[in-house]
Amino acid sequence: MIFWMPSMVFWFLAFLLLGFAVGVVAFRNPVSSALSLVGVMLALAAMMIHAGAFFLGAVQALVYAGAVMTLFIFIVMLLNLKEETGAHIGWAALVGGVSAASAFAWIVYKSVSLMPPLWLARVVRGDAQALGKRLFTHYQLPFEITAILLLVAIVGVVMLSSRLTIHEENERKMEAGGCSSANGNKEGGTC
Amino acid sequence: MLITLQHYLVVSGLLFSVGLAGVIMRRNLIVVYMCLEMMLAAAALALAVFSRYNQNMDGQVLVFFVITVAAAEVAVGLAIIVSLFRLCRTVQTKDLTHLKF
Repeated sequence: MIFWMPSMVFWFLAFLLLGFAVGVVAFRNPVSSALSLVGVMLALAAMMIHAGAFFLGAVQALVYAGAVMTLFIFIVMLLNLKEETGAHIGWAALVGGVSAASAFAWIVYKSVSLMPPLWLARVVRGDAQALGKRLFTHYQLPFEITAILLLVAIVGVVMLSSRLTIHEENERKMEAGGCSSANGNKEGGTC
Repeated sequence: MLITLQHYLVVSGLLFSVGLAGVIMRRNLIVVYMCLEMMLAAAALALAVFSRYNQNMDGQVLVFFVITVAAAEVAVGLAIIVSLFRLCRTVQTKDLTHLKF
């Protein structure tokens, strides 16, 4: 009784995870895909907790299902993406994608099935204390470098989003002077 | 049946391959990016379970760094997609072929 209960939780989480993952790929509406991805990330966080990585599960739920998915849904809303009309997946893409994915899954399955059953250890160390001790002693330097990485990302995002495009500069010029609209658009139309 | 390392690896591999299929099949750039995130998260799950198997915290520390880098990467990637949309007024991959000869 005690032995099959954790495995029931595992199978439930695995089916939830893969069902939501198929939903991300299959839904036409980008908002539905994003909400499915929230489900994937929450199921993945639950699975990490089930595997004993408690702190990582919490971080996964907070960072991915919280912050990253908010960003995704915000961008989908900002770009005003509508439900895709017509075929959203082409035939060639369907064949290529399914064959590549099944080839990869087959490789994983074959390489895994050759191993003897590798039992997971009973002792579980995945709490914030154990991870923090390791992080702040042995991995101090990478941790500090991560701070620089986040700073670089912030600066990069501000740089990317503050610059005006050629279209917007032309619009500004037309609003300001109303001249040079005829030759201004010619070099601007890169797309 | 007890859950072994292999069960987690198969789930992680299946999640990765679903993400791979999405990256190849979908035409919307934002959905492609979501599938990319899914592949990254699948690899993180495998690392976390290997860490449990080896009784070693290093794998979990690595997953922690992966999550941090992924958050920064999502911010930069979405900013690139937004500026691409401002320039081209589209996020469909079939319209973005300017690097093609």
